[in-house]
Amino acid sequence: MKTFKWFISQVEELGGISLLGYKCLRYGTPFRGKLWLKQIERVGIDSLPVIVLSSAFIGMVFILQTFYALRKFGAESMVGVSLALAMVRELGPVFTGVMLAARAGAAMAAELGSMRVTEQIDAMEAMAINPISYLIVPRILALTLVSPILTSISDFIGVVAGYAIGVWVLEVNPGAFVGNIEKYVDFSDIYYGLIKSCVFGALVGLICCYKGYSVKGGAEGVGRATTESVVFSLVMILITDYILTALMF
Amino acid sequence: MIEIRELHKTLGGKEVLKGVNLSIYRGCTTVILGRSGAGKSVLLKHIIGLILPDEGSIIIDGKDITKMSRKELLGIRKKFGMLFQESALFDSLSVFENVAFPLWEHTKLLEEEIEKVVRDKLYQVGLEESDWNKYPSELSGGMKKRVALARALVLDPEIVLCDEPTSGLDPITAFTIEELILELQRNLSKTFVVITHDLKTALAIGDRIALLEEGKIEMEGRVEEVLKSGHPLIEAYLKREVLR
Repeated sequence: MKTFKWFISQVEELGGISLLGYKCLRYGTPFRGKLWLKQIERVGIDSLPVIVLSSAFIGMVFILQTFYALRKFGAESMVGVSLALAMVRELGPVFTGVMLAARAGAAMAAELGSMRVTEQIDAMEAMAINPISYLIVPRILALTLVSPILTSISDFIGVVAGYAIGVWVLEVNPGAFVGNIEKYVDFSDIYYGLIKSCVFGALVGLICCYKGYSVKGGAEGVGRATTESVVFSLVMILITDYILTALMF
Repeated sequence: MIEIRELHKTLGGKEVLKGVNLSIYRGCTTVILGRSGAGKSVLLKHIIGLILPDEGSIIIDGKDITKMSRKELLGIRKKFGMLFQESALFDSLSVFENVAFPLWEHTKLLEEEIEKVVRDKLYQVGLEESDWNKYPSELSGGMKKRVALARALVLDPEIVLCDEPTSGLDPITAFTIEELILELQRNLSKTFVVITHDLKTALAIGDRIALLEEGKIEMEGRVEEVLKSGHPLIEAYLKREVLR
C-alpha cells in the first residue's frame, strides 16, 4: 500500500512538472530578455567554478583508473581517447547536470519556495503579472542555454586535466594521447553530448522550478522542496541519460 | 460593484466557504470581520481571482470572474490593488523598486515619470526618503505595511483589498495604519475591502461590516446597524473590547 501511494505521488509529480512545462509554452510570453540574461549570469557564472573544479578531478581520476586497466592489455595509448569519449558523451553532460541541479537548481527551488510561502507569488498574480513568464520561463531558459556551454567547458577541462596527469605523471606519449582523440572522437559524439546537456538543463529547470513554485507549508516546506528538487533532478537526469544514450549512440 | 453569490470552497477536505453572499458597494469601505479560520483570507483571494470557487459566482462590474479566461482575469486584476497580511514585498527589490514594479510592468511611463509617481505614493504613506533604498528585510512590520500599501495604490486601482492590515503590529502602529487607510479612503474615494478579526479596526475604518462566521456571512450592514443588531458574536466582540 505504501509503495503504491509513493508510486501515485511520483506520477502526480511528473504530471505537475509536465503541466508546468505546458504552461511555460502557453503563457511564457512576453519574452523578458533582461530577466533571462540576469538568470544566465547567475546560473552560468555561479556554477562555473564548481564545474571547472569537479571536471578537472573527474578527468584526472578517470585517467588514473583507465591507465592501470589499459596497461594490462598494453593499450596505454588509448587512455586519452577513452577519457575524451567518456567526457563528451557521458561525464561532461551528466556531471554538469548534477552540478547545475545541486548549485543553481536548489537555489531556484529555495528562492521560488520562499516567494510562495511569503505570498510574493500571489502578490505578483494580484498585480496582473504572470509569474510563469516572469519567474519560471527565464530560469528554465537560462538553464537550458547555459548547460551546453558549461558542458563544453567541462569536457575541455576534463580532457586537459587528464592530459596533464596522463602525459606528465603517467608518461603516456603525448602524440598518441592527442592523435587518438583526433582519430576516434567524432563530431557527432560532441554534439550528441551537448544535446543531452540541453535536455538535462531543461529538466533541472523544470523540476526545480516546479518544486519551488508548488511549495506548501512554511520554512519546512521550502526545505523539503529544495531537497526533493535536487534528488528528483538527479534521478531524472540518470533515467533520461539512459534513454537518450540508447537512442543516440 | 462586487456581487458575491453562493460561494463555496473546500480546501484540504475542509469546507471553508459554505455559500457566501455579499455585496460590496462602490466608494465605501467594507470590512469583513471574522475569527481566525473563518475563511476571510480565502474569501478575499476569491475576489481577486487568486483562488477559484467550487461553486458560486463573483460578479465585478457585471462580469462573472469565475467564468473568465486567464487573459480576461489578468485584465480585471488591474482594477485591484492588494495589501497582503505579511506585506508580500519582493525581497530582491528595494522599497522604491517594490513600489515602482507595477508601473514598470503595466505602463509605458518614462523612468522620470515613474520616479515622480513612486515618490508621491511613498510620501502619501508617510515613508521617509532615507528608507527608500532599504530592502524589505531591513524594515519594521509597520514600514512594510506602508510600502505594501503604496505598492497597492501605485496604479491608482478602483478597488483596494487589505488582508489584516493591522495584524502583528503594536497598537500605536496599528492606529497609524488605520488612520492612513481612512485618510486614503477619504482623499481618493476608492472602494476598500478590508478583512480583520479586530472589531476596533473594523469600527475605525469601516463604512459597512460583514460578519463572516464558519464560512458564511452571518450579517451585513452599516456599522451602526451591525452594532445595534444584538448578534451574539458582535456582543462577544463588544464585551471583549469593554474588558480591554
